[in-house]
Parts: sequence; structure tokens; C-alpha cells
Amino acid sequence: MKHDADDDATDLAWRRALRQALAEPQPPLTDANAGLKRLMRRIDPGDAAPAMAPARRPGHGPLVGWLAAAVVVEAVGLSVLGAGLLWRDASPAYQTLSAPAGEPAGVALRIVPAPALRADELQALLRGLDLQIVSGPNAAGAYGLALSSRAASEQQVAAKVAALRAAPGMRLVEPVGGPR
Amino acid sequence: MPLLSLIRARPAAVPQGDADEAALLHRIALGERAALESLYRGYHRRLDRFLARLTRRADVVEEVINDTFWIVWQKAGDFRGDSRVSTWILGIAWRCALKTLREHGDEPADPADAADALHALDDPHARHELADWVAKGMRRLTAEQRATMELAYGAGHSLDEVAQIMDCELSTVKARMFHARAKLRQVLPMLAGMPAVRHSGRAGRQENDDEA
Repeated sequence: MKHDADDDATDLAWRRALRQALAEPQPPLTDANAGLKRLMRRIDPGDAAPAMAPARRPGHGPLVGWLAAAVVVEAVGLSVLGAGLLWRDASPAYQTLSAPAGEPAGVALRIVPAPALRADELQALLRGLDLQIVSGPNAAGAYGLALSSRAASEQQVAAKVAALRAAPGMRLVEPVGGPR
Repeated sequence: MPLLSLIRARPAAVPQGDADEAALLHRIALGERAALESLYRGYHRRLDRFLARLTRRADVVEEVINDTFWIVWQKAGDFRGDSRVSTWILGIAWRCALKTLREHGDEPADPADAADALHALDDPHARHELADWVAKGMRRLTAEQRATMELAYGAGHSLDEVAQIMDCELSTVKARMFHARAKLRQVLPMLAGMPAVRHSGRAGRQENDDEA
């Protein structure tokens, strides 16, 4: 038992000596001032002097840079697209039957008669349906038609469209605002 | 030199308490470099000492300290006070050290440098020899064992704090200490017979921390 106690005492003394040896002060390997200078250069390559930084969130430096670059690229892209759209709007390369330029108010539907349809046949057809030509023909050969009674309902327009489409000599019949 | 100029010439006070250090982190999160400088100066010695146990290469130690405070600068706003500031910073340093040592290797560039760095103790003969012995013995340990012994015995961290710093279980810390002592006992059997060394304040406390 005495032997065990001696061993324990020796072990404890050895541990204490190890702890004390490891806790001894050591001269530093590196120079704090030089290290700090390098750190500050890393943080702000343009200004190594430690001082108050302009207000910004640390940790977002590279991220903010990338985001800013992305925003610039996006802005340039949007500008190019916007300019392209404006140019297209300013000088359209085509014209639709549903939106001809300079069309007078009151046009309820448009037609494109076949070339074989004679003028008197067309007039007779429109007169029978209580329709009259108010514009055209445009470059596509379309005429704008209005109902004689100004307060035409949607159902009335639809009925006229159906009647015209059923009539011979009509290439295209469409209500204003698109097909119904 | 006038007294006032002497006062002005003194370096910024190093914060002592955890609350002071947490306040510094808050200022760092707002982008205040002066706060970063203050924290850097307050931690440089202990990080240098901790990392010097892992490698005797001054360039690697400086690189790790630089990386550590670069992360502190970037992540200060993430500190939520779940641990002590020292635990948080040393944990960052440990992870940076592991990464850097994997890249550089942890062997000293010149083994003779190790002895050169351990000088300027009170009794040049006994204390230098003792420190040199221990330093050489520590080199026989793994990086994990060296870090554990330095944090617990050298820096005086509790074993719970060591576990937090090294991001491992308490049982792992105890196992590392057990194996480290066993290996050191083999290479430093006469340590207890060396001339008495000065008690440095931290030495002697937490005597039972690793008894479990």
C-alpha cells in the first residue's frame, strides 16, 4: 500500500511539474505590430493605417462587391433591353389587323373581303347587316366596319361577325379586340 | 517628457473582461478598425503561444493569427455570446491552424529555432533547460494532443472550454490529455526532479480538471 501511495505522490508531483512547465511564459514567435500591419493591409489594401473605418458591415466585403457588380451588369442589361423595346415600339416592323394606325372611333369589326367580291355585292351584304365601312382599306386590305346603331352590344357584334363569316367572299372577319 | 505626452503615448488599453471583449466585437461588427486593433493586441500573445505549440514556424504562426482576425473582422456580428469571447476566438484559431498545418505541415522549418525562441527566463540554466525539455517532449505529441495540453495546462482553460474550442466531446479532451501525459511521461520521466519553477498564477489551479 505504501508503494501505491508513493506512486500516486510521484505521479501527482510529475503532473504538477508538467503543468508548471507548460504554464511558463514564453517569448513570442511573431511580432504583433508587423502582424497587425499586415492584417490592416488585408482588410483595406488602400489604407493600412488602423483607424475608424467608414460605416460598413464586416463580413460582407467581398459579397457586397460581387452584388454591386451584379447590380451594375443587371442595370446595363435592362438598359439595353429597354432601349431595344423602345426602338421596337417607335418603329414597328409590322401592323396587325387588330390595331391599325389611325383607325377612327366606333369601329366594331374588321373584314378582309376576297378580291373576287365585287363592290356592289359587298355593299349589299353590309347594308343587309346594318353595317357601314368607316375605314380602310389599309395596307392589308382590311376595312373597319361600324354598326349603324352606336350602342351595339357585344352580342350584336358577335351576331354580325357570325353572319359575315357565313357569307361568301369573306377572307377574314374579326371583332375589334380580338376573336370572340 | 511631459506627463501628458507620456499618457497619450501609451497604447490603447487592452480589455480585461469578457464584457469588454464582447463590446469590442460589437464595435468590430460596425466596422471599427480601432476596436479590431485593440482585440488583436489583447490576443496576440496568447494566440502566438498557443500556435507556437503547434508549429515553430513563425511565418505559419503569423499566417494563422492573420487568418483568425480576418475571420473575426468578417464574423464579429455573428457572435451571440453563447460562449466566452476567448473560447470563440481560440476556436477560430484552432480551425485556421488545422487548415494551415495541413497545407504547410507542422514540423519546424529548422529544429534549432525551437531552442532559440525559448530564452529570457529568470534562471537561464534551469528554466531554459526545463522549457526546452518540455517543448521537445510536446513535439512527440499529435497536434490535437499538443493543443489540448497547451489550452488546459498552458492557458488554463477548463476542460469544457477546451472541448468548445476544439469542437469535440469532453471525453475526447480527457482521452487526449491521458494519452498526452502517458507519452510525455515516457520522454520526460525526470520532469518532477527538475529545479523548481516559479508559479505563474495559472499553474497549480484546476489541478483536478483532468483527474476524471
